[in-house]
Amino acid sequence: MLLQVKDLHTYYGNIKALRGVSFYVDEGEILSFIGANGAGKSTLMNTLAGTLKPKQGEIIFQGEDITKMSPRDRVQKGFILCPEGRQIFPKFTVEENLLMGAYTVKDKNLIKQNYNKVFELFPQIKDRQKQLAGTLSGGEQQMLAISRALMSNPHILMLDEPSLGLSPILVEQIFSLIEEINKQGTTILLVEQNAMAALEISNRAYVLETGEISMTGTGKELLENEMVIKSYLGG
Amino acid sequence: MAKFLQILVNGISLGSIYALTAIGYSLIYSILQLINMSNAAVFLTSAVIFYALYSSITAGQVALTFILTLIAAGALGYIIELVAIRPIREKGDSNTYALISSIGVKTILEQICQGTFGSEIKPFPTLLAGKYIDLFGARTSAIQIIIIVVTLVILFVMNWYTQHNRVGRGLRALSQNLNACHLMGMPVNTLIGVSFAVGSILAAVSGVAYCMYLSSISISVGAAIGNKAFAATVLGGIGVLKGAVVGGYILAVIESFVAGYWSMSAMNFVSFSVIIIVLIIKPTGIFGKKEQHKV
Repeated sequence: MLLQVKDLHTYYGNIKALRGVSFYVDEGEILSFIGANGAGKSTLMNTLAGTLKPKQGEIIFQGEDITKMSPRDRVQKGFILCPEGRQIFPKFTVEENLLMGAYTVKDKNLIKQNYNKVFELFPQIKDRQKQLAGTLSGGEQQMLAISRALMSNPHILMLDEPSLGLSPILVEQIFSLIEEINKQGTTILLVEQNAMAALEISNRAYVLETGEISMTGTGKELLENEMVIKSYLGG
Repeated sequence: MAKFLQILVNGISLGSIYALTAIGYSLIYSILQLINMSNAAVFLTSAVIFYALYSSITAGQVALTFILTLIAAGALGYIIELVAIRPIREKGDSNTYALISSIGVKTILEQICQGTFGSEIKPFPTLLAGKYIDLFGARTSAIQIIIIVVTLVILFVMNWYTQHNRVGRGLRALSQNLNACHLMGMPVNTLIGVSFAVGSILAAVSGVAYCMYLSSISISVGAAIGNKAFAATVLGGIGVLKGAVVGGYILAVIESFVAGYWSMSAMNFVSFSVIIIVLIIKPTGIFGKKEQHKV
């Protein structure tokens, strides 16, 4: 077990956004959380990343309790979040954005290596290295956001709504790239409103409803589950 | 012509002093959307530290005193953030509290300066006293030229650092998206502390330079220049570093011409009228852009 989360409770302002969430992530898998808007998906991601503090519960990464660790320490341990809405640095070039992703990496050779690696994955943004990130298209910005996260050399890559605002073709492209990243050895923890796209590439998935896990299974099982089809797949 | 040039040089050297202090306001605003009122007190405190060191342990050594003053100012800036701003920031409280806290720091520093330094005007060491440079017929004092050159070098170095240095680039990243900086594992707290240290060092250069220019120091220099520098920041567009610099120079050159061709007493009247007019026409200042609220 790579990551274990036990009974997580987090408040978002005065709202109790997570009400005792427990799950685990195995090495090498793609795990996803699906759920409606407001189910607590982003709160969960931000609690895992360390920008929100849980009221209760434990986060154990590789046998170590990281519940109280700063976001920076978590990134250094190989635990990074590519946030909802991309949050790239608009006034920085593509290159500068990637360098910010590598802020915790000391080894210059490793930075260079990762730099080339992300361009292999995302050749579209390679041609735009010197372009300001704010001028990229939505799809390119999402690619940049994922690339920036990969620059930290993560063990687990957490992705919050990578399909947000993208056309169906781009969604397909991004999700096949997520599979590719996973094949290269990065464990993926994905949160999505686009349940279909997420479940298709996931080994396992959880359904999050008003801050609680209501269902779990393999990606395939959930794709065939009547409740899931009715509530999340537009069936 | 000679008079015109002389007034222009006066304006530019005074503008350098405004610009250096203004950068501190703008830098911190760009990151925290906080008006750090303690900046003006750091201007004064640094000049007092320089005076105290120069009249005791480092007597007669301008360069050494200057370097020690800058180190002290940097440390002071970092400590101000650590003690008075960070606890409020980390609790997630409104910036209004941080603003009031910075006013508290300003008042405390001014009180300490007044208590240790006293309220009379004292002579301040200067460089190349009584030396003048003939600039196309205009008699400009050597210290003015030194201030202008030093400021240009600092602006150049700062520009280079924020473009090419990891920490400098980190400061620019903070001003674009603080949350993303946390998520990328950047040492956000340390970098914010560094931004206060940088602002304070610039205010220290400005404070020492101004007292050298006057060849005197009194407890009121901080408030006088602090207000002008803040006005310059707003004029240029708060949160935009080049705006702080341009605002500083524009304000000082206007003041200098009003004082030179009209009267000293009309100076503040005209300069602040210009600011009000600019703000009515373009509320975000010369370089400021309308805040785009992130969804």
